Amino acid sequence: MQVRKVCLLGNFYVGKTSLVRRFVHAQFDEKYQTTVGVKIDTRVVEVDDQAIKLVIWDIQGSEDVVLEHSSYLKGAAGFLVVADGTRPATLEAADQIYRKMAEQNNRVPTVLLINKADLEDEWRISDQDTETFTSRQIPVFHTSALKGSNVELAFTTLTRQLLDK
Amino acid sequence: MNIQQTAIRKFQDHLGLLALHIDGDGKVLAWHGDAQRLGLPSLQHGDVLPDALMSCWQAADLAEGESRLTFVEIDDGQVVHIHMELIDGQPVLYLFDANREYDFQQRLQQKANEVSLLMDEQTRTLEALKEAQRELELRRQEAQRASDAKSHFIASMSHEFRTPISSILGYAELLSETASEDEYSRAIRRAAWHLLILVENLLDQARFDKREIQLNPDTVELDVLFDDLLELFGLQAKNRGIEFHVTKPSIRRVRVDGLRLRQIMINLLSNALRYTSRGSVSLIGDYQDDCLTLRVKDTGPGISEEHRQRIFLPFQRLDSKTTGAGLGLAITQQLVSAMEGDIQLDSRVGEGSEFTVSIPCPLEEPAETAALALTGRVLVVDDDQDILELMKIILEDWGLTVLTAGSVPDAMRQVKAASPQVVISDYHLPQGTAGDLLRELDAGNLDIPVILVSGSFTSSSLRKTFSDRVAGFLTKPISVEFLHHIVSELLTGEKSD
Repeated sequence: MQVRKVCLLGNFYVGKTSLVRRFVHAQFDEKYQTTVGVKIDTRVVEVDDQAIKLVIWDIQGSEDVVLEHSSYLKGAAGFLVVADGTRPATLEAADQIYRKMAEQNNRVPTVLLINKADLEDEWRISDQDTETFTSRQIPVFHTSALKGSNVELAFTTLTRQLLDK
Repeated sequence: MNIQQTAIRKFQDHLGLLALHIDGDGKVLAWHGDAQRLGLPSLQHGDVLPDALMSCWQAADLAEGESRLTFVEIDDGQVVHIHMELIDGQPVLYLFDANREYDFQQRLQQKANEVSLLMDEQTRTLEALKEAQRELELRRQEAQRASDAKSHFIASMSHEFRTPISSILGYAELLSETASEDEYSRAIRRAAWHLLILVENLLDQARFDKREIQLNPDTVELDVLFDDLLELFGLQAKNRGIEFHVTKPSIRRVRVDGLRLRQIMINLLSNALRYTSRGSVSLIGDYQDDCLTLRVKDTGPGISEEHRQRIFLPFQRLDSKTTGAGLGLAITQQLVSAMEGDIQLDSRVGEGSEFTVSIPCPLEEPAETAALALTGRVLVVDDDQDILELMKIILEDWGLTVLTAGSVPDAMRQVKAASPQVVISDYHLPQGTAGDLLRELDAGNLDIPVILVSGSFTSSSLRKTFSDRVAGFLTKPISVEFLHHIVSELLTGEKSD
């Protein structure tokens, strides 16, 4: 079975750990627990009749994760960059993260997750704001770790891109 | 085990150290330390590294001989620091138990992140507050614009109303001076005054909103005023079975704004009659120490302490059964205040009320009306034909030659053709204003004194604008006596008191 390392990146409190928990364990915990360092989890995904094991690195949210934790990123085959729909600053941070990653890892498959879709009424990020990502051909998903919406889709979309590599 | 080995073992236990020797495919060749403590209880020789550790090994950058990963949460929630290196070309992974350090770091980071989130929230709240303030300011500006539009509307209406009422009052005055005067003409005059007061009440509310009030002190014949009030309210009282008593003051003339004085008295008497269903209403005038005192007493229901707090507020009525806009007392209090006077209320529920108004005003000597004859040419400019005719009658009666014009161009033609010595002009004219007329006169070096007439409540602002150029200001309805006073002064060049 093919094994691929994927990393979740983004500011703190955007819901990276909750997304992994939803994707891997189909669970959600309301309580916010800051991640320090990295949590590594795995899940086998079947895409186009192919099984692929994702080793998912949920990396501590920080302003400059690429510089501060570059050792965590080595060998990553894909990235899930996460922003919080209620906090526009997290999308700016996501953009900076992607730019620095792109400088170091060339064209590694990436998807953008705008999380907390269950709070969409409070969102302050519009489709127009994510145009910088869509113009780079990066798929954008509105996800909810709480409800599970689009979480599976985001991971499988990235996985499909990994298979193509 | 020798002493050295024992010491090393204890040190390993203290650190929670596990050393894993693996081959190039990640298979475990040997290990030293407590594998169970670090979440690897079933570790066997020849096993491939668990996924998390294998992924860490694959992430190792050994270009500089060693590589480190800190705070890695692997299986079963165990957190380790991982140090990786090659010893004699053989990969070795050192795992250090980082659980206690992690707990400490996690608590610190959690606090820091929560503080940061709170600050974000605070920033958002401040932004929302600023947005609300901006919104409030916009609403305030909108309200101000609406208020300005209202004032502008009232100014226009003021002009529109005052012109025909001036006309009615003027002709009624003329009728009353002829032998043919009868009860009908007096009734017309009283009703016109009443109508004017009602309009003034509304206009004054707008004026007070803008803190604009202009007093025009003039000679007031108290006999005439009290007779008018007796006739105006006497019939009304009689029809309702209420006695109406009027006691005139001992003096006959005072110098005060007659329109405002009449407005105050009509407001108080209208109120007294409106609320009194039986008994009497009395108006008692007195004059002492340069102060005119007017008392309006009624045997109505009286006003409770609670209601006394709000009866002087605009648009307040004591009960829903009564008619009226609820402006009378509010306007009255404001007018009395503008005239530097005082208003007092004495009332007992079930017995009646008594309003006492005191207005400081000097006594006025009888006017020398016999010596009114004047000579000269006067141009009257107004677009209302009735007003033109009225002014013509009044001015010609004084012996003056009167020219009339209905617009600025018409007025300029008359000025050039007949050289009038005085121009009396309404402010609002077709094809311009009296301001345009003044500019054209100045442009032609025609230094003719101009008396400005306005029916609009903006007259106070007109005064400010044209005070240097205009010889006098009159507000409709025009005081004939004051007009004579100004015209006479301009034509004779003498000041008359």
